[in-house]
Amino acid sequence: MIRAKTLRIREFRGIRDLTLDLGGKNFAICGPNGTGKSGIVDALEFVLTGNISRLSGAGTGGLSVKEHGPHVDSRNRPDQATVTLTVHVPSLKRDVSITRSVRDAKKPRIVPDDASTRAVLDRVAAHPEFTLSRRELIKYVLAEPGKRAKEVQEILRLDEVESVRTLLQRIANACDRDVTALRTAREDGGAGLRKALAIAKLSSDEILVAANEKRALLALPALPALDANTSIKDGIVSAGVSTQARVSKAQAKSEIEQLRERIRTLGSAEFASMCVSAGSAAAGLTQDEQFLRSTSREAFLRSALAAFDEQACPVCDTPWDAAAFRQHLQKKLERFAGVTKQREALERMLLP
Amino acid sequence: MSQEQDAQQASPELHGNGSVAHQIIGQFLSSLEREQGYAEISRKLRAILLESKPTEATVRGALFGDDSL
Repeated sequence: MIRAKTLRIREFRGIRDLTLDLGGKNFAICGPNGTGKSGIVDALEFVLTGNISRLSGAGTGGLSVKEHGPHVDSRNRPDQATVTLTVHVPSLKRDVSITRSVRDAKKPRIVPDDASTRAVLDRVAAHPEFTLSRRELIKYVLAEPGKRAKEVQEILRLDEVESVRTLLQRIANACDRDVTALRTAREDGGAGLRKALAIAKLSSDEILVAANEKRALLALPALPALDANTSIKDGIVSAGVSTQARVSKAQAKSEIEQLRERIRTLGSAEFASMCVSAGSAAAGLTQDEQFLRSTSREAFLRSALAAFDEQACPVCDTPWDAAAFRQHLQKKLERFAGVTKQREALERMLLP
Repeated sequence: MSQEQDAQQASPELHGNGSVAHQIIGQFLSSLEREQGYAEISRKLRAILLESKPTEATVRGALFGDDSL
């Protein structure tokens, strides 16, 4: 915090030369329109920050500190437009003087100029919410009651507080959702455990007694006590048990029943008869092994039949009577067709 | 200015960059720090909220520890 003690304004805004003794106390400025009240506020902002909010930012197109900061009679002499402020800095326990001219707005003259003084003034300059323009105040006054808090936040540049609040609220909402889901899971787990152990309520004693009864049935040692790390299944899992996916009991029973039905079918007389038939059919096919080996020639014979020129064999050029040639090949093809039928019938018999 | 006035005016604790927003957040964290069991969380939150750009992941880390991420 700093306290303004004296303020001297020269050729700045609407003020030619003015010195105010503020005494480091709170003060108010009043006067008729056009007497320079806003100019004093501008001078305070300018000397501390090097900027005048009213001449920059939204809605101030065409205005600039350089051109419109100096008094209208000193527009071409920005070096004459100066503001000097003497402040008391309680944290440093001393007075500091700051002088800034419009010509060198970014280079204030500070006395005494040392690191600690600069740090205090830099902190002030970085947070220009200490000056509020008439426009900002009127905006607040005219704001609807429900929106006034938002206007205050804007004036005091509290958007960072709002973003932190939003962030914390989002995390709180996510935690609420997680807690609800975890609570449901805990209740479901508790109900399942009560049912499995056939106990009325989930107390350590009841769980321990019921669990030890079950463990006794499995010839497992009794658990001495129950704490957060106790597993009532200790000793059940052997080293050889893999972590395969669990199969439901109903599904396993159904599949076992299907398997039994199939075993019964395999042992029936009907199946034995089918096996005999299939064996006979396979034996029939193997009778002419030489012919079976030549089944791949079927396509070749069909090609030869198509390429026959009614005079000679298209392969070896041996002269043939056309009808005899066709009959010869047709016989072979019919035999192939018969074998194919037998094979297909056998395949149907062998289907599971 | 008297020494007494200096002491009164120099005493307010400055939080973060000294802006009004940081003062509010800083005072909240100071209150949190005084709650039993929240001192460490407050310290971590102060580093995140006032000295860097906070994100949901970093704030969660400060509140619940790195295992929560």
